[in-house]
Amino acid sequence: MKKPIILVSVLLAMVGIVAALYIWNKPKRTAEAEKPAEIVTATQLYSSYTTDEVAANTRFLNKTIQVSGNVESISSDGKGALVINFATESEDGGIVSATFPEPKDLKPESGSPIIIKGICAGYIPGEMLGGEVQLSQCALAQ
Amino acid sequence: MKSTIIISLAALLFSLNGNAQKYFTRSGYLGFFSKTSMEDIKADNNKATFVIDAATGQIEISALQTAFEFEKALMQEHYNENYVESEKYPKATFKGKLENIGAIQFTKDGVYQTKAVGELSIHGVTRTISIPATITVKGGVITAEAKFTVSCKEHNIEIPSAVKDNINDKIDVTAKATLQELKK
Repeated sequence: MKKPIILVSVLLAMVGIVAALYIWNKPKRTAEAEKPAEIVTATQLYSSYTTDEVAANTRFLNKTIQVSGNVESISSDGKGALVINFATESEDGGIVSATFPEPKDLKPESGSPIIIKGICAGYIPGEMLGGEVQLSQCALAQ
Repeated sequence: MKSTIIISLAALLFSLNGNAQKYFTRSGYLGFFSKTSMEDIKADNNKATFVIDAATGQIEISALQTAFEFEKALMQEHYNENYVESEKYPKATFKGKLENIGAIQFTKDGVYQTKAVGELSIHGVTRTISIPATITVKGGVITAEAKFTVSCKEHNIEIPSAVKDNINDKIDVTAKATLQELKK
């Protein structure tokens, strides 16, 4: 009678440990692995943020979104990862920036159209320079 | 009439000032570090915006909370959901002034010690702080660097008692950026 109880508790403990380890080591989110919750153009995304930042955050923040637009420039972030900056046709010269997880040998020409997926990190208003909507963990959309 | 002339002269002088320029980056580094005997926690943001107006000394630093990267995805999730509540408060900002801006020559090699005094906003709480900073100009490359401490408690960031031995109330923050001239 006692044996099955011990067996069950050992099994439960093992399941618990495996689950805890899984949660602790769960992989980082990347846009590549997720379906986009929204599909927009860079111009639409930027103007949503300049019109109503709170509403735009409710719609986009922390979600994977697919963004299309024309490349304005290519740069890199503080650790050298690839950043593609989209033009936005806005008056303040603002941009939508798409940061990839690492440096990438990808050099789209300025002015060329491109479609990416990224996790929306929000908006930095441009008081002294143009504003910026940031997308992180980006990937090229297939 | 006289005052108009004086004002125009002042405006002219101001525009001739070599420092009448802005310097910026959209790829600045902001990192923080919490050290306890139980655990070290580190996070990096490589997409912070830094802007310095060399004429007025005005400085602005902004970073988006969800762009901070942690070693563990779970830590990052907890940071955004339970600690800084990124959905409610997506940004961390500092807006202030560099004290001795007149002494900093952005076009001349040198190491300039300064102090940024202004308002730091994190988690919806704004506090006035003073941050010692260094600006280095070398061969036309301008680097700004600062280290300071932020208290979780002072910004209403609650650390649950279950993990209070794992997270230090005093968080060490490092800011570092290479700035370029803003061409308009």
